[in-house]
Amino acid sequence: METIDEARSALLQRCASGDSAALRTLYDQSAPQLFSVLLRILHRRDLAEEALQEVFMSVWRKASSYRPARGSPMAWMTSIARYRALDIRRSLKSDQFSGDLMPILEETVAAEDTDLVEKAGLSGDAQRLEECLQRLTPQQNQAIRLAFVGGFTHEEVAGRIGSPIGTIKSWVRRGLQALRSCLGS
Amino acid sequence: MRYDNAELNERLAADYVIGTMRGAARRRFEDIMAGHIPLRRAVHRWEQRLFWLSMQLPPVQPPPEVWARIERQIAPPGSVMPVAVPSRLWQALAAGIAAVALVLGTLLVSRAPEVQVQVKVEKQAIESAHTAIVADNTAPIWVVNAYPDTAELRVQAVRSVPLADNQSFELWMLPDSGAAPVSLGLLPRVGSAVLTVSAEQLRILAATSKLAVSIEPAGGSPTGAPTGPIPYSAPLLHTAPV
Repeated sequence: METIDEARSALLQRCASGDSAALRTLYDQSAPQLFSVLLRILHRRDLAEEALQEVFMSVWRKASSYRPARGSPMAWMTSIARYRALDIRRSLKSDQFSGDLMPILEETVAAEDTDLVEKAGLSGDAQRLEECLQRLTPQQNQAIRLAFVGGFTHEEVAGRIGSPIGTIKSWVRRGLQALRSCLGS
Repeated sequence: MRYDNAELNERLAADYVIGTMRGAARRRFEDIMAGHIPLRRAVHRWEQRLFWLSMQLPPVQPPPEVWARIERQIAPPGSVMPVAVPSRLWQALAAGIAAVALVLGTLLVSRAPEVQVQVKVEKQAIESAHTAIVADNTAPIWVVNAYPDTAELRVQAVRSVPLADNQSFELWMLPDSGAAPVSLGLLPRVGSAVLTVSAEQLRILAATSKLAVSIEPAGGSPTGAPTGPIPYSAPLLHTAPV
């Protein structure tokens, strides 16, 4: 049976040969997840919509350079989306971000820990990551999630958690080190 | 900064992927990563480890206008039928030239007046280890990219040049050692082709700085060496250390 990664790799190959129907299928399958990723970092629908369009244009143009060896298609597309969002965010002044979505972020971050265990059909890799995250200190876990999912800088994470920036940096760094050895690769 | 230390690579890659590396440091890291395979692999591993965090977010349906705009960009209205081929050409050309543009700037692009493509260099797109553009005096004819990871040579005919029906274009490596030319296969007259290359061919490719194209009887040289005229040659650029 074809895995979802294999199916998506095949779609990317078809995109590489100019098949726009394949891009449409990829879009239908992954745009809602990527839109959520972009919204979370950009906090504004107009920016996230524009970024989503750019992300899929990148996927279309770069499809021929995708190789399964570099990770799953979804990991690849998520990286394109996150990096684009980080670039956009950096180019904007801080006052262009409304604070509206911030509470939602923190609620979700808190809720995820308990919510996740109940998610059916979670892949083995996702479960392993979650188990490893649970072995970190709660502060390390939270700092990593805020940086990765929220797109916050060390400084912003420090502001939100209310700890000095040096402390945040070491939480993130040690947390990531521990994650790597826990995941064992 | 040192980029030959595995532990440091891991840390920098993690900092890049999680997004806390910002500003000029981020740009600099992207530049270095483009030509640094261990660093790029470390980044890919971190992306693969952490992207599950993003998958935990609840999906949000984007408005239909977003797809409509994407569709317009990849297939401008009024040219729905013929657009498939040009867009494919454009895309392959952009991907192929991007690698070279990094090294040669806009030189080759400006040599291609017929094509008039503004190539945006996207370093992430560069995954091929060896690349060549075979051109005549006016414009590129073939873009050649080698991918050792998958043992593939991808060749795109950017435009077609005249050739008798009973003849083929054959692509050759001219090894730096001065050894006899080694065939890489037949070049497509139009469109693109994926040629499979052996480990031995890849080894020779890594020690080759020049490719040549010969005109052979249809189906390729009967002797294993070029038998006809050699109208084109091109420098082979090694874009990533392997």
